[in-house]
Amino acid sequence: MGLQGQAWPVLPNVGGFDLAQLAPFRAAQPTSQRKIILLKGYQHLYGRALFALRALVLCQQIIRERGYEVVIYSANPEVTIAAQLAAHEANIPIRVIPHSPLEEILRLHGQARVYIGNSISDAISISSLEAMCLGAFPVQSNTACCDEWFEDGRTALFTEPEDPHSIAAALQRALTDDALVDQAAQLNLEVARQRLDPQRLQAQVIDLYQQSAARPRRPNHPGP
Amino acid sequence: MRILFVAMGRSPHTAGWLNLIADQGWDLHLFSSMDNGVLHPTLRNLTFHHSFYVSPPDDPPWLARGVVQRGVRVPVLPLINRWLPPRRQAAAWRKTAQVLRKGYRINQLTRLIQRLQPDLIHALEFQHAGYMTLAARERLLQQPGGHFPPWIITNWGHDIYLYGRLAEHRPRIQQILAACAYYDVECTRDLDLGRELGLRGQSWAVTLNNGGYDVQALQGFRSPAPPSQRRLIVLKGVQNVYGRALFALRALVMCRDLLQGYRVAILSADEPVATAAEVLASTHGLALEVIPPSPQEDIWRLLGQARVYIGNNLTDGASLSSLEAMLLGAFPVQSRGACTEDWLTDGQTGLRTEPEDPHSIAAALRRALTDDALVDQAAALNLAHGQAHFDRAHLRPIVVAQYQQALENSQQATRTV
Repeated sequence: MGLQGQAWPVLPNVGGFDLAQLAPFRAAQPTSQRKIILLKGYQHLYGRALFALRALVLCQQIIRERGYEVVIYSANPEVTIAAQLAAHEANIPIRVIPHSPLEEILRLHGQARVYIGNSISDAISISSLEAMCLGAFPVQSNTACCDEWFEDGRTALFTEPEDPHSIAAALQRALTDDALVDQAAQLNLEVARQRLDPQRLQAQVIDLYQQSAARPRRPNHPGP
Repeated sequence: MRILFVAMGRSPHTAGWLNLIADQGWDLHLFSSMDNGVLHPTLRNLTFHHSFYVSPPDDPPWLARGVVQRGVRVPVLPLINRWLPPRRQAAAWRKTAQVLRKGYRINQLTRLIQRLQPDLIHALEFQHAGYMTLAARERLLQQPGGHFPPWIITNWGHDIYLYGRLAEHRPRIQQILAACAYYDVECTRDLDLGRELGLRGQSWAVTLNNGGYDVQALQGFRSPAPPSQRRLIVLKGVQNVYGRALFALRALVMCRDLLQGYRVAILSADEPVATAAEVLASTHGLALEVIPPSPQEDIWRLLGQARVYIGNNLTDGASLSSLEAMLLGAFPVQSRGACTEDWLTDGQTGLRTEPEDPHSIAAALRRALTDDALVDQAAALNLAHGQAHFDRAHLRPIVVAQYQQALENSQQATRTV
């Protein structure tokens, strides 16, 4: 689309995550033993939580048989009502939590087996990175640029955001494959240590600013 | 006969229904459940009860049509009007009344019932009119010798199919169904649901609740081309608590191989739908056009030019757009959330879909776009059905007879006592 300037290296714009500070939010048990399915409840210009909610209904049997609970945060009003209807229709426990401090969301990530993020457009998806740090297995729509952070089928599952069947297939696997989610939690934590450590990022970013400031400026107007 | 209606005064459904009985010489009163000072322009022969209102400059035409307005009339003061127009003055008074006295409209309704002593009370719709009437009824019955007239409740759209499943609403819906003398529905589904939720009163005939259509006049909007020759798809673009247009939009993308030469007109598009349509049009080269808010006649004209109408809701009543599509030759691809089973024969006069499954919608759409015989035959059958069931001339005697019977029952009960 016409970029002429230099690209900076691909870094998380959020400034990284201090894993030591996040550690208390991470439940002690392995991911495969956790019983929460965490869904981000955005439904608006780009959020597509309603499609994910339908996928949860399609997975109702597994959810009931294995005793999972769906927790939805940041839910729009239509998602809140749809969640009540879905819980009624599928006979599955769905809890919509009110607007909560970040610590509460992080605690939920640390207690969740699966995190579902579903949107038609996103960048890195900070919630996915939080899931990465806290052991929740990401089921993430392929429209976020998560392929630069996760390996589809190994450390996350990518889905079509507007196809409930695609999301349900991924969810079914994430809810039944214990080895997948436990191994993913370890691998994701390792990636987080390498790429999200704020100290490392800080050094990189300062260096980038210094290099950029030291570069000769391009003249606004060509000389005579 | 004196009937007090509690209903949304600006709604075309309210106006359509009331106009069915506007020429009977009955004493009709309308208490607005929304209290926004707005009357539907086609209302006739009734007294309209506001809290605060402003008579617009065209007040004489209201009177000429037999509409009398009651309430506190906000004076038109030129000095104030320069910085606060009369309509906003009235809105400010209403807001002030709400703040100073919660439930002031329920008080007004209670007093109005006491003063008018209507033969019948009819609440059109549950969540505003029904709840308000229920509260007024409770107040009146608590008074010594308290009396409440026979109550008719009409179910609109999502009233009990959606809200009956929500914990916050279910108890009040059950209270209304236990208290009303008559229950008016536009589909069998809602009649069955009403019974499940504790309906004790009688049910009225399953008829359209919007007052029906002048089917003959509507044919003026119908293109002469048979549906199979039409190259327009109309999609209702509502995406909200009950609308699911985004799922239908995805289905359209899944059928893009069939859309060469087709234009898709999206009505009532909410912002996420308009944005998604723009993105999809650019990504897939589809001719998607978001239609700005338009007069009803323009919508009918579009339906009269369409091969297929897609209505996709999680919940709905009879879905008037689907009925209008039936009358105008557009083949309905309608989600099961609407209670169209009384009007549509799945696979013959329309196709019913799962509202949150794009694959289901795409399969129906694919058939509707490829099966010429299906859509042409459906158009003929749907028009015949519409003429037999949706025409005002057909509805009027049924509705009038129901009110007369309700009054007779009430008088008989009084005599017996």
